[in-house]
Amino acid sequence: MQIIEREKLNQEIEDLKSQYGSSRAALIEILQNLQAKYGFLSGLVMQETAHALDIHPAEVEGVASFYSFFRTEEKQGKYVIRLCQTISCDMAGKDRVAQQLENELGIEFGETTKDGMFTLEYTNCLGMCDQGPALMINDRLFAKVTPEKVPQIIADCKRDFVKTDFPQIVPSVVQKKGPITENEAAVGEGLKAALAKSRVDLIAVIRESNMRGRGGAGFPTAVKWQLAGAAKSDEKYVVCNADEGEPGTFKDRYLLYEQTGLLVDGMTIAAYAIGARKGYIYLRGEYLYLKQYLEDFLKKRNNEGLLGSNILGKDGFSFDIELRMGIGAYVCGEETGLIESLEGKRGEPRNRPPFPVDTGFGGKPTIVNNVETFVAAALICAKGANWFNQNGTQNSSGTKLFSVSGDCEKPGIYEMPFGISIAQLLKEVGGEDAKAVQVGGASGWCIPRKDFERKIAFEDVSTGGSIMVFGPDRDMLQVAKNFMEFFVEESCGQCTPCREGNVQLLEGLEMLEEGCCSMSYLNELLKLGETMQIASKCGLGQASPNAFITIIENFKDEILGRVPTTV
Amino acid sequence: MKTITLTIDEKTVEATEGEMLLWVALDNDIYIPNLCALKARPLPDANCRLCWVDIEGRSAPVTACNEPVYNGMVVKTGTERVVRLQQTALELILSTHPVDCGRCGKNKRCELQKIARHLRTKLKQKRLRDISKRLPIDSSHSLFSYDPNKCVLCGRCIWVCKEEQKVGTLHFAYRGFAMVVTAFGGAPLGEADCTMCGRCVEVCPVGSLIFKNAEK
Repeated sequence: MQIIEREKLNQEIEDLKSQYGSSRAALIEILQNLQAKYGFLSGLVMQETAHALDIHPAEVEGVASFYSFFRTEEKQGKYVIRLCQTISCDMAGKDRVAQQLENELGIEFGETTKDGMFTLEYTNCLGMCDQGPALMINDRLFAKVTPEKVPQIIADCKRDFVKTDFPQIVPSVVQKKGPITENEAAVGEGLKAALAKSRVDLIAVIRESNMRGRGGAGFPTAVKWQLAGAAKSDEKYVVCNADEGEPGTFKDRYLLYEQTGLLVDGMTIAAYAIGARKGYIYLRGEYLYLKQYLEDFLKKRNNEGLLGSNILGKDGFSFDIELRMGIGAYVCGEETGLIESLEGKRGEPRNRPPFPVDTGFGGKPTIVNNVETFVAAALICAKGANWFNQNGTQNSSGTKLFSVSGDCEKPGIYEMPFGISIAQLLKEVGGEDAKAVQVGGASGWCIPRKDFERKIAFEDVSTGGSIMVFGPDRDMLQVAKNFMEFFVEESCGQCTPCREGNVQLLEGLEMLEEGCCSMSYLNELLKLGETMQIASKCGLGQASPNAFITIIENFKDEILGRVPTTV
Repeated sequence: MKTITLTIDEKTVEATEGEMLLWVALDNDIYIPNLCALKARPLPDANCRLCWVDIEGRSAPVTACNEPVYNGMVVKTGTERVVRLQQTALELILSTHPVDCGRCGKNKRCELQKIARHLRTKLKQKRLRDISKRLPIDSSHSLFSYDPNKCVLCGRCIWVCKEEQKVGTLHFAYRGFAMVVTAFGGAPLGEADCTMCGRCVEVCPVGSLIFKNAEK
């Protein structure tokens, strides 16, 4: 019997190899398929996969145990319920939803029901921060979940969603449109205009627009493209970073679904600019519900001659895009961590230099850009650099998509020019009474009320789009704790400052909660945080203490001297 | 290969262009704290974050293990900010590392002791809380024992096992604070597919992997 099982498994792995290739880069996709089939990655599954790809089983286990959506220990239920535990959903009442899920299923978080139907887990940000509490069940997403809705959701699972009132894809809420979001009609136009130009002229247009990367780091897009374009190699790659994992960010979710044409245009334009023939969209595992849609879309583009060989009749210009799924790791939003993951490895960020424009995917020149950057690039090509840079500031040109969540009247997506003040934004979203705003997500900065005149721009407070509003009654210690729990879970662990430092900072917050942290120890932790900002290996590690430092510094009075609550 | 000249702490030294600064310094008897680097390794991980140095013209300290040397380079190994970064990294490592040197098989040969001596700091760090994990010690192997609590996750053992010996028994599993060096399936090392070369023990900078027969 066992021999037959093994043969069957080997046949499946062979089939997967013929679909995804037999290189190391295929490992993660093969594991994703095997987990879907067997409910977890057993020792046998990992061993046989390793054998088929000619690597050591230890290496397969290293990869499988790195990503939070892979399971190596016990079989998951037919339905895996993942409840978002990140700050916006937490503030929206996730605790009561959690309690009701446990009540209905008779299990606790981390457990699977005896009949093998349900597994209950917490997960980090699902990108539904404006419509929380949110949960994900396999490839479905549920927004604004209340304790009352829980029994219906579970009943729908039991009926395999044959009939359900919950939508397959929850619509995004766009509260304020602008030049980028209003331009659905321009699909194809930017691509045509770009292909009519020489590569040099095309990059010159992007340079003139002054656009800086929309993911948050703000590197000038034209410089990135120029460097990759100048790199000598017959193989180059364009990668779209759709691993929108920064807590409080959900604007790429909207762009991926509603502005897909512009995204693909932008990637194709970038491919032309740097001389790439292959592209990848690295879509976060939490957005699994967009996979089929995006694959169909890419197929359609191929049939229309907008992807594939001789695009739009341009002789010798070929470009294809492949969709790759992430498996639950925030650190893969860091571009070199993302590239490692694309290569089928643990998503551990690399040392820089060398930079991806020189040594990227498979060691080849690669550009990694945010979804919004590609969309904006397509529009810049269609409408000109001045159309873009007439908005914003000199150092932060253009409008930006902001994802607004937390304590405000109108959470959702807002397109507004860079350079607006936090106060202006709060007025727009109905959050004037806020006592603090977190700009830039868990890795960003907590801005207190006295600093609301500060501007949202790369030269002042920068953000990849995340804006979280904290009302007058929010407990800032709990906010800080939620962020630090996030980083302890999401640190890749390779470098000392991030791996150990975040645990120390979280312990410090727990001491504050118990009312037993002295000012001198707190100051030591602030110094530790500042060292982590310099000493960590990657951008994630360097940014991980930002929230801790800015919350402590601005809310000491609220945080110190707590009287412990009796448990 | 071009020979170049650089200055480390006011000492002029010769090196081959492109060599990594850490090895140039160590070869010239200038000590820079380090744990994860291995000379044979072409692309270092730079993960322990200990080998900080200041280089003239650079705004922030850099790690010496992945910093290629060039002609005219001016290096300082003991600036205040460099020492602060090194001290913090050491304290963080020690906050998870059981300090019981008297009973440790690596006593007096341990890199952590060497680094602490260099930084003139105590091994029993008091600045941060003790967050050690208390995992079980694996004594199943006939040649050596493995104490995961003392492991500093430098990855040297994994590299020699995989890249030098082409065996690949050891690897990193899990991530973040839960990350651990282990054999497939968390099997006791005595049951793993080990070729008994002992290289992992030889390169371990601390008392995590220790030969049972101390004579070896």
